[in-house]
Amino acid sequence: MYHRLALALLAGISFGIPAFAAEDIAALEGTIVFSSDRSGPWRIWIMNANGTEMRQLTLGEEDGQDVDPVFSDGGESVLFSSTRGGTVGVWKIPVAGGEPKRICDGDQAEPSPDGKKLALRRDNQIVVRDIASGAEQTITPESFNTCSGPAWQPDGKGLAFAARWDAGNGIYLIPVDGGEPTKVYDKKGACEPHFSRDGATIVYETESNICTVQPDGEKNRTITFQAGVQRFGRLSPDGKHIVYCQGVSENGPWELYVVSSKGGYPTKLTDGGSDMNPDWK
Amino acid sequence: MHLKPRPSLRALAATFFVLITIACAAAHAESVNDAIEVRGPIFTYLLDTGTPSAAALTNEAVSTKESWTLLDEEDLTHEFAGDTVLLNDRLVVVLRKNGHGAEVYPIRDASNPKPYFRGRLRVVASGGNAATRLDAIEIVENDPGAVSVRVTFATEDDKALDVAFRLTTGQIQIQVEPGEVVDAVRLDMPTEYLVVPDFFGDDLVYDAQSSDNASAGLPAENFALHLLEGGGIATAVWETTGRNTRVLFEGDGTARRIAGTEIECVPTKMLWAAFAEPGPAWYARTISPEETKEDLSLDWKPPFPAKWRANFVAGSEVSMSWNFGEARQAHFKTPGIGDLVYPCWFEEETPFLHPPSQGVRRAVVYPIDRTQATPLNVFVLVDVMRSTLGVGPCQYILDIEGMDAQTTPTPALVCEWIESQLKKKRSRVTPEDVRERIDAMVQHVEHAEQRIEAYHHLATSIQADCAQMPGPEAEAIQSLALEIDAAIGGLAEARQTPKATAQLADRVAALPGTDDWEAGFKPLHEELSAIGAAQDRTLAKCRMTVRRIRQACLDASDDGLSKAVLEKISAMLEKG
Repeated sequence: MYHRLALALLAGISFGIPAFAAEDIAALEGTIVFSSDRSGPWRIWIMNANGTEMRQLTLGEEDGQDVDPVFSDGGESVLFSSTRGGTVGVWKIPVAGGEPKRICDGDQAEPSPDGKKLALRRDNQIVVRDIASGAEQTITPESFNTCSGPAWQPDGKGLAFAARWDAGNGIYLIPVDGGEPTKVYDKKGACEPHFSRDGATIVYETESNICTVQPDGEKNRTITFQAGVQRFGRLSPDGKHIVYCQGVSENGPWELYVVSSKGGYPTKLTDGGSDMNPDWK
Repeated sequence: MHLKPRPSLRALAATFFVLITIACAAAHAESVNDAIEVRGPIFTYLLDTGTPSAAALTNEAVSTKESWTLLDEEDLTHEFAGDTVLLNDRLVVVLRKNGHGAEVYPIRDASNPKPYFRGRLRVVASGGNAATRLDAIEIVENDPGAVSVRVTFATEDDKALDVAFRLTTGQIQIQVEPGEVVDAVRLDMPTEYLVVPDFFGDDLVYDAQSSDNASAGLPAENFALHLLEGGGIATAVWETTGRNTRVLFEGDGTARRIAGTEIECVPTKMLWAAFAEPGPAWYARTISPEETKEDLSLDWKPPFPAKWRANFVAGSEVSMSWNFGEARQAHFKTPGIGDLVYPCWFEEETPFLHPPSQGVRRAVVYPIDRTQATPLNVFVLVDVMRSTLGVGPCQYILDIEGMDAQTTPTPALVCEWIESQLKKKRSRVTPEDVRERIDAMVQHVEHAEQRIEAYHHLATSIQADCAQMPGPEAEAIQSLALEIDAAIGGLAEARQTPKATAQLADRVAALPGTDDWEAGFKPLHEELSAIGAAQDRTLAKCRMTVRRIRQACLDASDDGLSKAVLEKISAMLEKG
């Protein structure tokens, strides 16, 4: 009988084993804007962060490819790069739709946190432009002759950007008024930096994965690890998720996926066509 | 009637204590797996088994992790009481105190998540002495993104060999960073076929009968595939070219097999061993002489969608390699070979073979690249290349041949871009836009021809050396040099000439603005793409043959000839 009591005690011990689940995209909040060729030419599209209510934002059958969308004006507008009119420029369109307006030459524009400036790429340099006056300053030094992907620090005092060298790419920080860049990380083709809202984390891409790193270069983490190629990662406003592009190879085609910003099993968000350059507000 | 004696209180207490101990032990082991499940099995972890094991851990022991301890994140000072384990959701790597290498247990897919011992990574000192014991281990990294340890092994004569092993989140490969005095890394794993892939040419395929010696030189540049007994695939990848790599054999007669590979080390340069387990991920079949003229339906279904490759082996390790098509093609014109039934295809999901020549005696099939349908948790060769060397095959080959890898203006890619412009309604692409891309393409084609010409000069020079220093080894090397010229000559017609290519390019550049230029572009697209494909194949065959010459020189006893030839080809195999 006492043997049976001991065995009953053993049998009575049970452990719940919670599963490590893929992301529940139905609960995702916010809006994602991205570029896609699902209608033929590259155009800007917008949808709820859970993948519903997808609609085309930029229209037109004319030649000109629209890419690199990013929210601006508190989410009321979208800036994007386009070859409309024959030259590469920064354009803006209201989220509600309408006629896009050209702002200036260049591409990869990002609005500053206070909404008063734009950072953009022109002639492989990073330019900061005052929106009201149009005054511009090239902030990257001439010795950095192939720069891209400006991303504002949340305090607006500086930017992250990527620079390409013969030896490979690197992510750097630079004050908003220019100066000597500080290297953050330069392994495995690191580029496309974007800050979290609290400034504690930079999400970036390598040749094939999405990673995060602290601005001081510490705590480098690989977030995505699937086969194929992962690019163009952007954090959700609350910093809990990353939306990114998944491709068969570096040539795409691309689909949007979302994953926990701590890493995990991703969930597919879009299908059909090739979808790139997401931004999430 | 005799009653059973009642147990004493002391006996009951002892029993209870034993049972509780068992329960706690079971609870503890279960909690390690539970803890990993809660924290996230894809992440990386370090574990201490608690007690050193005299022998390799059983699959069951690795699965249950009984009495193991999960180290806290960022703990870099832990002193291991038992054996050291690096783990993510794809691999378990065990470094036993009583062992002499890293013992690797790939975890099968989610439907069968049991670890399965596959082999051992051992470091080797100069003179061929492999490590025989583990002397020290130090934690270097310990966080959810990566775990790594630095290990000091020692040989029988007490030579210390340092090496670092690193595992990252979700990846199927273990990274090996050999220390300064490590001469080679040996992958001990029973292998049915060893494949040296060539993305644009023909693979080499080795089996147990490929050599009567204990080892044979392997003319692999940066990677080799072990098609493992049981259906898995282990891919060895290494940085830098020019390493002396060997395939190892053991046993005799029907018991003979490939025991593994040994890869020469270069200080600070990495190696990786990647283990892909969902399978059987490869397939092989003997082909009888009667079957060489037939369509053969295979009694095997690929376990996942991918770009599958068939190697048809006739006698030597040089195979004829083809990627599976999507339908039967009765008349496929192959540059340098002629008109034949395309040798491998799928009908719905059933794979078929039609051997390309009567001498074929075996077919070996494996996944070489992914498609959009390939599941994200399946890693094929190209994925492993990307996550280790950082490049896909096209960039890899262009980089090695010294061609423009950044913009890759190959005929196929340039023509695809032009075609994509045609598909857009009211495209405003200008003749200047097309001209710019076409000019880049012509330059690319010219550069490729210059490389081919350089291979021809090399082959001629090697033949001259062989004529001046005759002998059996010279005959073998000369025969290989003649293969280079045969490859160049055999595909010359398909490559056309740079002048002919430029003329085709001019015709393309003249199309924008003309009526129905889509129809006019189609035949030009096909012709330019065929030129690019023929160049790729020529370069691939030349390069593979030069590697085989290099290996023959390394294995040769004639120092004069081999030294002379090696000097010439070392420059050719480095970046152009």
